[in-house]
Amino acid sequence: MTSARLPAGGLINRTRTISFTFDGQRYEGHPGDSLASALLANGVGLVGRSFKYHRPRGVLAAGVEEPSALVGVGVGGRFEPNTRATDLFLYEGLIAQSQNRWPSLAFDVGAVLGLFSRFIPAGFYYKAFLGKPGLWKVYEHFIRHAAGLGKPPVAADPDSFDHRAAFCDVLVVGAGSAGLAAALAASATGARVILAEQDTRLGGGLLRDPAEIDGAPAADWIEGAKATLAARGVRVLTRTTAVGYWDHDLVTLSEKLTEPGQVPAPGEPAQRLWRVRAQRVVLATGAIERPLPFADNDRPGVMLAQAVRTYVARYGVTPGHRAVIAAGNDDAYRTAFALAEAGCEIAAVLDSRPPSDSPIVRAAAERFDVRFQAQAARAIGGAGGLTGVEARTEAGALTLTCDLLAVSGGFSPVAHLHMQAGGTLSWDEATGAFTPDQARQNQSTTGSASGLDDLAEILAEGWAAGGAAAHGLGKPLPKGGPPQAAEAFPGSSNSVAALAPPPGTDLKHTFVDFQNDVTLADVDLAWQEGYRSVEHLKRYTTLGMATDQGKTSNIIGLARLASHEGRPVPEVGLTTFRPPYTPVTLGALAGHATGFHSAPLRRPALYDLHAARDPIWQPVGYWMRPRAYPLAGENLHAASIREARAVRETVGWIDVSTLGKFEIAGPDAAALLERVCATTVGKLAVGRGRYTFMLREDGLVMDDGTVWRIGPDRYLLTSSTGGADRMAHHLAYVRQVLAPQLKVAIANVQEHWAGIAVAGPRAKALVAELTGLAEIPRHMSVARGVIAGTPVLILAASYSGERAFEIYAASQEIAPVWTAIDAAGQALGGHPYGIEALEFLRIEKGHVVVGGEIDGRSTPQDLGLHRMLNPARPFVGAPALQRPAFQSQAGRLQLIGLESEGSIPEGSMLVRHAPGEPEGHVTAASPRVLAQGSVALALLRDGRDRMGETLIAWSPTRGVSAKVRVVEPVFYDPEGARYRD
Amino acid sequence: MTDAPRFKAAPAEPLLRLELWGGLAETSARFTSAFGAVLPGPGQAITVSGLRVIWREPGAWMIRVETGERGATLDRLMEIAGADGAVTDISGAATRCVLTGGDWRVLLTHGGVFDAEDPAFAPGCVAGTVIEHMAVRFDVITETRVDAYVAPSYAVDLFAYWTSVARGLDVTG
Repeated sequence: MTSARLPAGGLINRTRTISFTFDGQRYEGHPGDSLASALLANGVGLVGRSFKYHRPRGVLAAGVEEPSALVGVGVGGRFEPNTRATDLFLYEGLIAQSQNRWPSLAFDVGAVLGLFSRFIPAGFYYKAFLGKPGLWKVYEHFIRHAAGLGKPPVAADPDSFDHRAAFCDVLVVGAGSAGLAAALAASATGARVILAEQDTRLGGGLLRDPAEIDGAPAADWIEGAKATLAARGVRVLTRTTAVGYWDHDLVTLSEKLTEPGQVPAPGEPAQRLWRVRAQRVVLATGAIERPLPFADNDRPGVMLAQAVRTYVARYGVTPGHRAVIAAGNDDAYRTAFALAEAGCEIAAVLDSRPPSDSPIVRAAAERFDVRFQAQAARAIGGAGGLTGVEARTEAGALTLTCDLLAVSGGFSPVAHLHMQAGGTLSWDEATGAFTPDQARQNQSTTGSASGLDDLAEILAEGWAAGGAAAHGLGKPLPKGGPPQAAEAFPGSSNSVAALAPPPGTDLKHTFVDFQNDVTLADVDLAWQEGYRSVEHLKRYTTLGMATDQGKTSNIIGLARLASHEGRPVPEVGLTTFRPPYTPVTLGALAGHATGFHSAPLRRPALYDLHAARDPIWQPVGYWMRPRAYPLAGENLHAASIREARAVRETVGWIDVSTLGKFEIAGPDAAALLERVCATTVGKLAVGRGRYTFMLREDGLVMDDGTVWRIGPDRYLLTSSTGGADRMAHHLAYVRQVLAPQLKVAIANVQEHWAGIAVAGPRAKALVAELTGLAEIPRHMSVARGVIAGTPVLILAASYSGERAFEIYAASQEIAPVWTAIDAAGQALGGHPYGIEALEFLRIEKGHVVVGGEIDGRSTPQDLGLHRMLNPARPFVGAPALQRPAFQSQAGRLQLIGLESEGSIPEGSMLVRHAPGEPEGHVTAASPRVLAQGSVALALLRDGRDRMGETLIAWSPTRGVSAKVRVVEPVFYDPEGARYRD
Repeated sequence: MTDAPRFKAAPAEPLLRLELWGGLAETSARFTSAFGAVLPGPGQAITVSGLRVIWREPGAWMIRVETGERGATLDRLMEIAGADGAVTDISGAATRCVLTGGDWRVLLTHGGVFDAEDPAFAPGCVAGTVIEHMAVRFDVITETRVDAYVAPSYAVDLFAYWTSVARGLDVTG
């Protein structure tokens, strides 16, 4: 293969030069070049090695369907493996390297695998597992080393990725001739139109083949169309691939704002993922040319015929000097003319069809050596390039000297998005192609994607599709008519299916899937071994897998399977068309959701005041809460013990703003709460509160909290931080679905009320000092007061087991309240405390927590809460508690306490002997705050009947265990004397 | 030349929630009698007598007290709600962010799923959506200004996100 830059022509900017490197060698290209075209222009025909056999590979195609010319591009975190050199546009400083070779592309040790190809056919690795298990240890290293296509980057991607939503009346996918005509027609009606094109340029095949449209050269018509669309406000997105078509006409577009490996402009994202919700979608996605099946058809120098024209016309590159054309359609003859115009010698045109009388064939026959009923049988050459072609003709076999073989095995309409949208396909036996048939969503397919290949027809159908899409939305039909085309050789390409190899072909070297090195022999072997389903064929041979998803290979493989089966191709079926159509960088899917939390953080109103103390933070759902406030030299444990002791001995204060909070008002507020809460609420006096818990409809405990009657017809319900959103939904469900007749209003006041819990023997004194209230509310009572000039709501409730108060203020006014409590509390010898100390305190007191003891499997009986159930049973979940499974307590996990002299491993299983059968698990463990030893809460089978038993808390994964005693799950002040005056 | 959006957190103002369990017509009539305008319908907001009244969900409105005293306004609204509904002080439950500049619509298409570019989403319209996992409510004031309400716990991250997006805002795409 002796490719070279032509002296003139192409859509590249020859006034500028761009430097890039490939395998460390510096080359030059021009703006507008793809990496593939630039390499070809520099005479580089060997671009990579194949995945399995490490065969030399060059450039086959000129677009996203390229299976062979895969490179790694970029450096560091921007490195991107498996990038198609044909879909990578040149930029200054581009660094590319070939894949699957060692030590070099030209001399690759792995190529020796090709010599052993008969021992590693399709499915060899499955068979390998049938041998002695111990052998795996022998070949695991080699298989793992060889596995994988390309190497992933080892550093994090430094770039940002954007997500954006868009809505439109008509989304046109593909800006070739059909897509442009569709967008022009739709936009002419006043519809909101988006036009997405995966290339850097609009025009599609018009960039490759000369034509006149509306009396102007195609390039001028494209520019005119572009201007018209801009004037009509059409959003034209280039370098944007429609990668997924989802339900309800949601289409995801992947927009490359930079090329792979390229450094984005400062502040700019590298890529953008669009979520487009369209009323109508016009799919003008074109068609992909297929290669031909013959021996060594993967050699560098064998290229698709349209791709060859693209390199000549668009990039000003001739991929060879002496070419053979092998095809079964008229379209490939255009390649012969294009190459000849570029100064290339045409050795022969091998046409697999009988003699044809079409104008382009007649014209070609006058100029070139055209042979009918002739096929390429073997490509001759190696890593250095192509040297010739063995052909089968009516006159017999012959060998043609050439350095370029341009092949065309017909065209596969790009029906991926149509199929992702739930469409169906119909099979055209003559052309050997599936074309879109029925649409399930609001999509239509036009142009080459619908099987057309005549430019005039494509323009007309594209115009009609765009107009119909808009008209279907009530817009007027577009005025005027479709663009008119004039070509040297108009009409159909008369393509015939060319899916079978010539008789006598060496099938072991006839490649179907270039990317996975799947040959026709592999397909045959799979069929012989009983793989009849196309899905099984795919998995067994890997045909159609990897990054190209079989864009150039699937139909040939299907046809082979069908011929063995003796059935038509449609009957052997198709594999599923799944998104994405082309590979999408994971960063584009993640968007901003990266880094420490990968989600937005919720900051409580007091966040800045906490941050000033430099606490150890703890994510709690989306919330960020202080876990502890270490003093100098303290670790988490020391700080937490100190803080917990402050609560037990003097006073501590903690931010509880994140609790779920709901104000429920109206004459039926109590009735609603008695449905939501499993405890009695109706008899609660104004100014009083009580502990409560809520059940799901299946009778299992969902959440817990407190309920307070803060007015005659007004209650405040609190719930857990993590369960706040779930509780909001539950309240809405009960209000709107179960009891819509109730006269009640529900306001989510989670962020209206910010709260501080003050707890400890000096808490009452502190509240009295700060509020000046003569009468401090007794346990489970409500008061209102003012602290630091801020009105506050005071709820006397205790989670720690000490006398305690939850003090609430409007969130924007809470800061001075905290500051006042902090100052007064420290004067009393107290400390702020975090959620680690809170955990110690609540475990000692035996309070359950959502996510720990309330784990979605526990009934009120399991948790010892059943004595608090409202005997009238009006609440959600009450009927489920009558189920026989819940009536018997035998065998259920029940809440118990554990004691130990040493530490108890949290999360460990409870066994009689280690190792042994688990009978429960430790839900939460804590050191004793004021004494030695540890305590824990646990769920143990039949636990309440097992008081005094000794068990082992055993964690084999951590290699720790502790001897524990089963006790009542309250370790501190079981009488509750400490929170009563 | 683009008119890139600028945004700033507005000073905290009292927020109230009016929720009706019945008597919509009667309450609306009492509201009209008191303030001279009907309660806004679904997806709408009005400014009346120093109040920004924003439809929130069927039977519920969020009312921002622009001028006037919170307690007096709350009492007046409770009187209007009468036996048909309740009023709850939710001040501080939402941070208001004022976005100005002609390209606020472009900004709001980032990280979200809402058609902010629909010309029908005009002054007087409100909508709730999600931006980068954060629940946001938009209130279009003029063609060059929209108010966004977000829970204060999310405000820092939302503003950081918008700052990041606005820096490289592509208004041509």
